[in-house]
Amino acid sequence: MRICDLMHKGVISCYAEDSVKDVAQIMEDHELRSVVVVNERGEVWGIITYREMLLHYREDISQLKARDIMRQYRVEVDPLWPVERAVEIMKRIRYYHLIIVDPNVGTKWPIGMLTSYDVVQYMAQLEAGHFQQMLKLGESPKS
Amino acid sequence: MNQCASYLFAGPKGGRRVNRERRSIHKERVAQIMRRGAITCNEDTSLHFVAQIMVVNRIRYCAVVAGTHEVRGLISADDMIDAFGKDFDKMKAKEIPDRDTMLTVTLNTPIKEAVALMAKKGVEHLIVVSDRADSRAVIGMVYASDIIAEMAHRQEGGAL
Repeated sequence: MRICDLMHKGVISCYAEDSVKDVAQIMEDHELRSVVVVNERGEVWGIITYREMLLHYREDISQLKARDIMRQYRVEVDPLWPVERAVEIMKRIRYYHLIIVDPNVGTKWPIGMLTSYDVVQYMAQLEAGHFQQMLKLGESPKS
Repeated sequence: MNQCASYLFAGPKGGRRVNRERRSIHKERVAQIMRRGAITCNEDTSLHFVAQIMVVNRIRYCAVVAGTHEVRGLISADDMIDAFGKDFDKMKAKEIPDRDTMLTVTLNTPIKEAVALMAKKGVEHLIVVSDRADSRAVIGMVYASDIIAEMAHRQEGGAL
């Protein structure tokens, strides 16, 4: 199973100059947990999730910019990698939203997102006992 | 039947939120933002089944209870990532490694404190338990999505 079979196609994004109140509005309208912050050329710059929003709960959010609270995003994930490799990255950086960028263009255009819930969906579909076998299949290209 | 997701008077995503129309949050308590009920599993439920509970109910958490109501913990979708790669068909819900994510509030906790707890621990759900000394029964859940909706509808200049 590759990442592109499991990820959400398409992302909802905002600009770095948008206010945090707008970001909250986007999250509520689209029922999202994370919004990708892009720059003027549409490249990935950062990410805002619930975790960043809750940290700024008590401040005046209509004055804050998305740039002030976003988390810089530097991990590059290729959609053709196996899911196991994405899970390795999640465990290592302790962050459960991975932005998938298009590998065929030079700029970092976001094309999808993989969250922990997608991995849970993948875990739930497996029949009992089949997982050990699939794990061995997944390990072989990495080594 | 031991392995069965039990619904504590709730549908998916908890019950209706209490006092939905009240948007002002000054001096408000958790009781006004929580949703009643929770989706639960037992301590002996396998993690494979927990994943199925999450997907079928379209939620990102599963509260672990002993008996019918006594809260023992909370498994979120992020915690399930740690079990990926292990033999999670045979792992039980009580073996999930990161057990300090069990964070509980009571009905009388101020919302500010609940949000501070969420932000500090990096979680998106809090279990609301009863504040009686003899029992820690699950009453409901606080969702981060409700807090974000609160922020989106806040009046201009509404710093707290």
